[in-house]
Amino acid sequence: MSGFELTGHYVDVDGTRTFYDECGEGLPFIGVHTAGADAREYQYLLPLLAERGYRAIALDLPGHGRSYPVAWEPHRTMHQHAEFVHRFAQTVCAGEKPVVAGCSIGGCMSFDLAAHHSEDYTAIIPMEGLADGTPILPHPAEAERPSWSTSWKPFLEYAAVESLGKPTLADPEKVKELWWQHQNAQQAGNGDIQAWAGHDVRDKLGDVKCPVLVIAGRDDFWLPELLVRASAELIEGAQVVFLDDIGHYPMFEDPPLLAKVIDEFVRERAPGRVEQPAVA
Amino acid sequence: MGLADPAFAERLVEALNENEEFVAESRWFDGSILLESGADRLWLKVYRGRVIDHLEFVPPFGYTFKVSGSPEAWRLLRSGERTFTDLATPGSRHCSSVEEIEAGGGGYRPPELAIEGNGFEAGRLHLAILALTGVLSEVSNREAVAA
Repeated sequence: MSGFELTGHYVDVDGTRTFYDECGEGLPFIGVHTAGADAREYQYLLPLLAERGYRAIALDLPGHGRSYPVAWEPHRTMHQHAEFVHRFAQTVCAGEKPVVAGCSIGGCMSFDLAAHHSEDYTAIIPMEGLADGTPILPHPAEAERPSWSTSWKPFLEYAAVESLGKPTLADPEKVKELWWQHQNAQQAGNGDIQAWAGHDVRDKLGDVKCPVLVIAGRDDFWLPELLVRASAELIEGAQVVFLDDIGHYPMFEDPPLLAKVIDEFVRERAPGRVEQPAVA
Repeated sequence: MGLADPAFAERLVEALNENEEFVAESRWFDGSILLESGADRLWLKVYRGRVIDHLEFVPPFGYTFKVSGSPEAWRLLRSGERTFTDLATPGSRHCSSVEEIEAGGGGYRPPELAIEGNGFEAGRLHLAILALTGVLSEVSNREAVAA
């Protein structure tokens, strides 16, 4: 059990009140959540990273959790989301080069950040994301509003639950918890999937200047291994890790394993950036 | 999975009416659900959380929505190799090459289990459909073991 407590904070980014959880001191780490969810997905990982010497942060993207949407409109492209995360990082971690890790749409945002701002990060870690989201799902703009589709909300909830790794899927408490984490506004979650379905930065990854670790769970049906590898191969020197018995939510399904994988990668590829000695 | 077998249909209906999730989620539904596996069909009339009638054909007035797929798609669901959400969601995720993904329409590749008809009612009944397909798998698997 970690001795680090999460504290909630608000910051103004793009004129919108933006929430984030934080704990610990040291090299900043920023976690970016999945579609239709919020920072609660990182509540177990952040204290473990704090123990390892990080200032561990996770934000609620605009329109999710306790963050208002920018100008009252959901983001509908991955680049909008990624640029917002970048401005959040520059505001909350001014003058520093954080580690950023995102999952699912957050993973796609991580590829977008690698394409556009890699020099500003110590490491970028796309989890369950791709450089090109278009093959996975159709573009769901026609289901954006609740009156346009009664199926969207239950779809997003079960798209989440059923892509858990098999051990977590067999735990009813964890399944319920993930379900409750996906109760945000339909417009926000749908905008996230529009962003996924239109996302493609394959031609912008030729000059990435920071270490990149691509993580995917072997039980995640959304992410074919061949597409994960194809995305990673676009970035020179990117490392790829496939995790057994993990689905679409590594930070929620096995936080200790993920903390170890992230910490070891950062210490190996960016020596000296984490001041605290490594955990034995 | 014997949708066209009257004895199987009886056992499925009985199991659905005993399933708390199906009963709760379909509490305010007054319509019909057609299940199709290849050429086999089973039409279920559902009213206030109960299957109150069933037929192995489609009546002249049709159905509210249907869930259909090949016998292989239903087998993948029954065996647990694939989840319902995976089978029922369009997109190219189970391909052996990038070329195959692109040739099949990418994100617009049709799902292996199709939900067609009144999409608003099917959407509203999403959790009832999940419960239904789960019960269908259980009853089928039980019979396969018994055989």
